[in-house]
Amino acid sequence: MTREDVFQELNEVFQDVFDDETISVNDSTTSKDIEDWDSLEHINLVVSIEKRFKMKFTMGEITEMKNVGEMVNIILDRMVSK
Amino acid sequence: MSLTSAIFLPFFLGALIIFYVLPKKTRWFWLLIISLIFFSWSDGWKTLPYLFYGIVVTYFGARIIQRYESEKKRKTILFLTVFLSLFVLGALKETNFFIHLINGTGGLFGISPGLGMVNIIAPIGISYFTLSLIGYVIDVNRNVCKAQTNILKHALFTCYFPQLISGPILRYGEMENQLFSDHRLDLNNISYGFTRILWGFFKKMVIADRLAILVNTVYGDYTNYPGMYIFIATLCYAFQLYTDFSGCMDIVLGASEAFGIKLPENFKAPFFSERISEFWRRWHITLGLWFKDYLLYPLLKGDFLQGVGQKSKKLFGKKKGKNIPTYLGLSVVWLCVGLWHGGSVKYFFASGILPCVYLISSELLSPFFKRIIEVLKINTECFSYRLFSRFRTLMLMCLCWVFVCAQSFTDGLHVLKSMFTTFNPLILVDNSLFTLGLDQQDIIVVIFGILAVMVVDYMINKEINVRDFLGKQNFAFKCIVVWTQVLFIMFFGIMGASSFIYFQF
Amino acid sequence: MIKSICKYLIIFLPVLILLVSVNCYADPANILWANGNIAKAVSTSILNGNDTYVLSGNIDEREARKFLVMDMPNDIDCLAVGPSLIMCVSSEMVGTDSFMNLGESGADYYDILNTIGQLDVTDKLPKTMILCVDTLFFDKANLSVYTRWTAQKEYSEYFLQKMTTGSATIINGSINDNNQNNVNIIKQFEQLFSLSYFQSSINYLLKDNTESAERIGVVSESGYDGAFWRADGSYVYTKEYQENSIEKASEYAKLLLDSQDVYLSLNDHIDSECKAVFEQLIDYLQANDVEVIFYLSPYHPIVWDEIETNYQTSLPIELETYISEYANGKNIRIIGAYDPEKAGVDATDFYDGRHMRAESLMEHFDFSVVK
Repeated sequence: MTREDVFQELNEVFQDVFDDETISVNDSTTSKDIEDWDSLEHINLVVSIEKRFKMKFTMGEITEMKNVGEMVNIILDRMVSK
Repeated sequence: MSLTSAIFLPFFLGALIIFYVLPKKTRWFWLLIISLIFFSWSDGWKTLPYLFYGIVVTYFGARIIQRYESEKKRKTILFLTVFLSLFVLGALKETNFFIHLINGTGGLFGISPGLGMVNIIAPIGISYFTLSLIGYVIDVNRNVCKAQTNILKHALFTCYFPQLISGPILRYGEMENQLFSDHRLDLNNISYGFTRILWGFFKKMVIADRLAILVNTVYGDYTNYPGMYIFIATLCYAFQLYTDFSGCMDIVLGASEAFGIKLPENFKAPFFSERISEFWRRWHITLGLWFKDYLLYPLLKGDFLQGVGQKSKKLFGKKKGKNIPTYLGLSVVWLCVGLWHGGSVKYFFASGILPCVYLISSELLSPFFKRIIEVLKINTECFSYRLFSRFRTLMLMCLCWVFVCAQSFTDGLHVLKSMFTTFNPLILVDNSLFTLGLDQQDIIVVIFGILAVMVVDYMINKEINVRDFLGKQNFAFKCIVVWTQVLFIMFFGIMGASSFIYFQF
Repeated sequence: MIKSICKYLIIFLPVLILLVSVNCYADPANILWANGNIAKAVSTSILNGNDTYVLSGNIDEREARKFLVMDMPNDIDCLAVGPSLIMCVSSEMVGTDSFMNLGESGADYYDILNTIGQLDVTDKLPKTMILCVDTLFFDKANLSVYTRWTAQKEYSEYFLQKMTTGSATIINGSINDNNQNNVNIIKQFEQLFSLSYFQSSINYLLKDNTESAERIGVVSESGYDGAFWRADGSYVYTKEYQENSIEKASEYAKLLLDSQDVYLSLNDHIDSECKAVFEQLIDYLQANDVEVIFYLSPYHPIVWDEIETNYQTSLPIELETYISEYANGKNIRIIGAYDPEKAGVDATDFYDGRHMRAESLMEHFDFSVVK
């Protein structure tokens, strides 16, 4: 899977979780950019992403990741190691 | 040793000078020594064993976790370490609380267990450093950081003196490099540090301790000060608590900065919050972050709540269903926050139950409020609405703080009743407010102080870096700013006042 | 670097200077210049040869007297001991500069024993002692009414024991305890930089609050209208009091009678224990080569007439008889007399019912101890 593919899938997840079809994320997107993305929704988002990409984030990654770009890096990383 | 006591500044200055005189490689060790001195001076050497216990348990716990690859083994050691740490904290803080609960519950059933209160003295800062240590061990387990192999360095992380008494709660990953680095002398750090300390003293001694007089007068005798008096006093308490705690943080962060070590912020213009949820991201930030990262997230991500989530989505539909585990998780977290403030029912209620109720109800009621806003065509983007939101947030928090000010939970209920059953708004204009322990000069000083704090908070809210802003001004202006604070402290600072409020946790 | 340090100094120094200078100037608790102890400051000033006053006119005389005894040289030839009646006696009257007046208001039985006890402990018994003998010494009843003596009572206890058994020790004695009296530099340093002291100083300066603080001063050449102590320990009344007219003095005399002041001891008698101790005291002094001179301070004619007429069996009358007999028997010189007629003074010689004018003392009595 390429980085663009990941972003495409991610957009769908984001749109679904936040119920907003206009959402489009990029490397530098953070929680500040999306209205409902607070600490409570964060876990729901993470779980949805894990389901979509059939992988798991570690707790350390969940609490430490700063933006969507880092998220994508981790997803790609997991795919490679498979 | 209180941070505003006469001995703190000489102690701090002496420690600072020696710090920069010593060779760079030994500076962290000097920090450890003065931290231990500070701890003993503040608390006596009898409580040192608790500190050592926490250091040793978590040091070995972390190192053992790091050694194992097996997730199961790591988790076991983790649980053991966390349990051992929490057990001491819990025993010290909550024993009397639970005895009280048991006695009370027994009373409900007509039994009187008659358990006597135990006289336990908890060492200062134990609530804070225990959380920092547990966070460290969990981070090692999560591979966020590596275990510290030098027990003395680990000890420094635990009892680093500026944050020892009232936080902020530290993350090992953020502190490791700073604590053990070269600590080069940078005059900017020193001047920023001292200006921040000055600001902290100003807030604490000029505003907080002065407001305390009024608050104590009213709450000490609330039957004679009903209605509007209580409202005013609670509002004053809001500002007292804020300037006290944030002033303490300013001194702590300023002192640490002088050593070249930047600690995390604990406040971000909290009274500018428009929502309760936002308030808890701006007030006692490191506590909120700790509970989020180390309790809420693991809970929400854990199998149990995920399972609950699945079932509730099936039962109530996707939108409503997905919130149920969130509410459950929040409730657990806030119960723990309440216990952390703990020790008595009123703190548990005011810092645990009530905020939890606020947060969950605001989530539940948010569609309802959205409807009202639509129907009444309320503009939520204008200044007046934002002001209203901030006022609303402040009022909700004041309700919590009524219970904190009162002697007990039941007392808090009486206070509330007294506030709402007497209608006496005239006291605002008939000079009655000058009978509460503060004279006209005091009130002017307090108002000036609060305005100054609000101006600074306004800048913080707008993400304007205050010290950069000041740094760009001319030297004369900087002198005036410093001298104003200094003169206010010298002329109007309340001397010999009590220790900081959050010191008791 | 230098620039930064200069900037810090510009910001920091004015504040420090403000703090220190206000604290020094106001010094409301007199810690910085008198270590908080006005009495000590007064006695030090006196011993330095200054005519000294206190702004409020009040100090703890017994404290001051104790410091005088402690700090004065041990070769003073003549000392005056007694109540306020003797306080005006000066070195000029006595005829020698080697003189110190240790009189204090209302000195009673224990006060005098305290004083002489302190002199004994410090080995400063003089060659000559002018002792003002007054009803105060012989009236035990007063001791529970006026209790200023209690703070130093370990000295009377010591002295009584010494006189009786020949030796004694001070149990809680502080006369040789230098720590109490030494300047506590650390405390002074603390107060100099103390913010709470600064606030007290500001309060003191703004409200001109002389009750909460005291100032002592040295009388300059232009004189001083208030009361003060001379360098020989003798006392000068306020100018106003000194200018009391004869009528005013008579008024005071009548007031004294009307109020039946306990100090007059009109309804008491010589206490036998006090008398015994008195004789023991004189014996002791004489045995220690102290030449004792009695000073009997005259009563105002109005007061004495009243006593002679209506209180013939009272303490003053008893004392008059007793003392002359006793002094005769012991060959002790007496200056003055209670009876103003006998003393050769009249209503013009008094400030009030009991206190003679200083110039009258000079005129009518011969205090000189120099042969």
